[in-house]
Amino acid sequence: MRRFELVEPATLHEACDILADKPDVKPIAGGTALLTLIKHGIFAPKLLVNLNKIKSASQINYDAGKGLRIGALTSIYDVENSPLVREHYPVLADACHVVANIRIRNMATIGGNLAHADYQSDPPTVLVALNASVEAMSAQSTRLIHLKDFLRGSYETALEPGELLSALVVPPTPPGLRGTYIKFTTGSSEERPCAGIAAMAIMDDGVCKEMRLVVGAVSPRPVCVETDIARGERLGPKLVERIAAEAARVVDPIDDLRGPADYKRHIVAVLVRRAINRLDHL
Amino acid sequence: MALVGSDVAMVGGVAKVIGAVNYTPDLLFPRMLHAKAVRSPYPHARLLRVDARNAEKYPGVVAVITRDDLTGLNPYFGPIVDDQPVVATDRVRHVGEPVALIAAESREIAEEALALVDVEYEELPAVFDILEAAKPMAPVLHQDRNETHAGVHKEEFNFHLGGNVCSVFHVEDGDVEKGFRESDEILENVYSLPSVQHGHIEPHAAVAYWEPSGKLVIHSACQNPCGVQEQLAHIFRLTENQVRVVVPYVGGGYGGKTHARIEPALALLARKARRPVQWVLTRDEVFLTGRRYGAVVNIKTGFKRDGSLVARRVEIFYDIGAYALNGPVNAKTGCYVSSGPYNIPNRSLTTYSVYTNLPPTGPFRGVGVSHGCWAYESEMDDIARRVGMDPLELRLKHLVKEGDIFVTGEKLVSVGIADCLRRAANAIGWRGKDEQTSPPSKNKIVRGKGLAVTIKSTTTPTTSSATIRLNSDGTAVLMTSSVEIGQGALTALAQIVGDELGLPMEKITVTFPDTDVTPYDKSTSSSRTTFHMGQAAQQAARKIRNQLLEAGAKKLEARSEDLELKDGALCVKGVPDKRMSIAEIFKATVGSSVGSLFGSHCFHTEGGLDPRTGKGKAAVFWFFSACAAEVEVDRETGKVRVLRAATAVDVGKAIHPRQCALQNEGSLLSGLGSALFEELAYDNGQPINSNFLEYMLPSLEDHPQEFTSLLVETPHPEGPFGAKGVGEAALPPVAPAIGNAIANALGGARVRDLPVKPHKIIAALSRQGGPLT
Repeated sequence: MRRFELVEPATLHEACDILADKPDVKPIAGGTALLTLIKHGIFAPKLLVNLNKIKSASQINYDAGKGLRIGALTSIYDVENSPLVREHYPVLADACHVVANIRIRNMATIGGNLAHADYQSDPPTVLVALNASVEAMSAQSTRLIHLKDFLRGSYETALEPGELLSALVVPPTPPGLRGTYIKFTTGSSEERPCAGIAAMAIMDDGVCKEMRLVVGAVSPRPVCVETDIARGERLGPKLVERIAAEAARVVDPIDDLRGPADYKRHIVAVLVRRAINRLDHL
Repeated sequence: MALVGSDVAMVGGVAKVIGAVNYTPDLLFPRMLHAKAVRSPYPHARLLRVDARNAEKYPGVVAVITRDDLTGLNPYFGPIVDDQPVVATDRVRHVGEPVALIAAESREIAEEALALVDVEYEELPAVFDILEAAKPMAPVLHQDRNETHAGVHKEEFNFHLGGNVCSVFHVEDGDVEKGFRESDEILENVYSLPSVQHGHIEPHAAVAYWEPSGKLVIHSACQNPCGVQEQLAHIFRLTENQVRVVVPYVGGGYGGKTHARIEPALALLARKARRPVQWVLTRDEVFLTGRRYGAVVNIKTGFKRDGSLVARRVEIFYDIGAYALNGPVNAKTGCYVSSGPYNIPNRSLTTYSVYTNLPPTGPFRGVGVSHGCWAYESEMDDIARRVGMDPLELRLKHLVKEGDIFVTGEKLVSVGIADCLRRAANAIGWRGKDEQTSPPSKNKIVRGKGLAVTIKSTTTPTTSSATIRLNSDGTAVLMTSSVEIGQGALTALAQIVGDELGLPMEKITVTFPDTDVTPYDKSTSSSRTTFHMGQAAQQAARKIRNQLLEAGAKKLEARSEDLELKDGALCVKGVPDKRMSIAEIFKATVGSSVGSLFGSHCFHTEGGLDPRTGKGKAAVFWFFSACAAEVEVDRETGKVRVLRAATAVDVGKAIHPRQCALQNEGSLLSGLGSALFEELAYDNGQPINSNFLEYMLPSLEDHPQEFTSLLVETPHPEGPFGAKGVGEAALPPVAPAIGNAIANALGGARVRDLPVKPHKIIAALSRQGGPLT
């Protein structure tokens, strides 16, 4: 690994100042993604800004009106195990629980996960379905960006130079919304997903009031699938089949080591069907 | 006392658990420098210019070696063929081939200086596919192999010259064409296996320095100190005593550290730097340094309607990568076992080792055997299905038995394979013919069971020597060049010596290899240590024992045959008070209360095959093993989960049953990885998954919920206490057992290309009539 300088700011503002100033600089939190890329020579930063000393950015707060606010430096493990997350957004806890293994979850942060924008990841899929936003902070200002706009493509985000992802904001969910997340791997159990399906619905006496469906890890960014046809309907096999077919149609699968594109399209349909069928039993 | 056969505490186990063991990357020497390699970005290129002057001037860089530093040396080396340059000379043949090596005050400085070595390449056409490489029109990797560095072991191998086929091995029995004509049915298929990684946790690592006398000292994480010593002596034109190889604990190897790989260039760098230099590869460099041969297997079997196998022809093409290394040996050991542990009257078996522009390969647990086994064991199940016979019965009907003559012409000894198969099948509740004939399920999740067996040789002829030094206080030191690679060699060898000398474990030390001190050993490979070094150690101990008994007979006024060594003392059998401690008997033997008593033995096995006929004696002992697996397959997604597995190995005698079971469990996990997940991927020769994030080994979550290790003990007349080897035995049948279980779960739909990834299962189901949707 090439030599680099390390600075350890105490506040996010300080970190933003440094990021705005210097060329060849990268922020580092858990390091689970960045260090691999540095080792492979994909990045050769001269300066690393270690964010781990910023204690204020690893808190989880919940407000019934505003929803959930998670500091960017909160570990995936802490999100997974937060009583607030478990109570109000159990499907987010589920998605965090299936990330890699406990060693990675202990190190990796939720902010790093989103800012890295690896398409083969679990939390973004669920967070897009939850209409989450991220706070992008710079030395001058802070702006809120919808996660689905923030994730522009594989390893591509809406962050401007000098901006830092400072927090994740998840709005309160409408009463009765239940969800599920399916991670599907084609290799070892700890592998990154070949596909991830987040399905959420408000069911009233067997009738669907609202459905949200997001397919992750298949295309360069999570794909929201149109589910209007489910509104006011029972989730019978024919309807489920139509939604599954729509999901398989709208994804733009990437051929990679986790599977060929046509196979991914095939399993998206299978997994969407399974995810929706689960909704009836939640 | 009987240490042999009991699960004594593993020597060094506690030290490893508390992190107190120093591996090669932990070693520090005064003024030690660090090495980094400039590596080729091209799979095949002519080297037009290599200029290291700017790198040499970089602050903190002490020395750089390139092809200009090879003057006066033998620049090429290799265990079989001298085709591998110490650093690239006229061309590079794979991505990652070292072109220069830099020694600097730190790894970081060395890495920064890499870009300062000015290298000009002229790209050459390259070939990556095994079958393409074997064709006459393919770009040739070693054009000048004929003139400059031909095979050094011509008497053992058939070398091919001109193209990329490095060596060919062939053996036959009966008349295979006639056999096919006499068969009722013929099955013919092509199987393939990708290249996979060894996955040793410790990377390749070494530290080298030169003494003022001109002696080279190298501490290396290798499996083969004497082989590395021999290669270094050849390259630097030194005698054996001018090269000292020391091996500490090695953090896994699985064959990946069997041959000199990083040591030659490092030694040259240390000579130029005049300081100790350490080289520890990064993980992606390990991927560029060694891997298991990929292969294509053509198999054709003729059989009668009653299931009798009449003829089998097998042809295997092994991708050996850019340099021969162990390729010819692999092709040989993979050849004669490629029709399986079966009696088949007519067979023709041929293997080819083929150069490609991919990183070098090397032996991998079950060297060359897993390839044929994947094909013939899948084929056995397909035949059973075709003739409507229980796959277990079909195998039992043809399995070799004690005293049978193998295809090589030798008589098989210590053959417990039928027991292995029966016990493994029982362990997963095998139900016979029903396992294949259950009606195809309409369920999404289906289950199936599968069986597989294997036969493998141990390298023969070879030599292992051991020396035991008895100290005057009655403790003993076993000096051996066997490597403790995690397999428990230190423990098993101490058990053998302990029982021979009547000493408890704590009174025996087993040394680490140091070629200045420890006697010769062929290598810690081929699962040969317990059998070969165990035999050498036992005989060496017996020589000490005889000296003690002789002296004791006088002192105790008894016949030596009435004496026994027990609990650290010499006793007259049945007369408990007539005894002398070993310290006392030592004094009586040596004539002094201080000093050393020695016993040495050089154990040599006879054998070898005639390369023209493939006949002779391939192995002093054979490995027999079986695997049985039960899987669950999701017919919609193609996802497989291994629910239970049993491996059974005929170990001869389990010196340490727990360590044997751990070997079997390790083999199972490794086999499960290559059955379902693992595959090295390249894009035009560039590795694209050279890390453990993209190349995922099985995790503990993938471990079957139920795993049974079974040890069959058919004593071998030449093994210490009847023991054979165990390390590799269980691996080859794992993938075909899982493959057969999958096929049985899916009503016969079969994937013939490893790994059996979900998308291949969906494709196989589509061929069969469509996946369940």
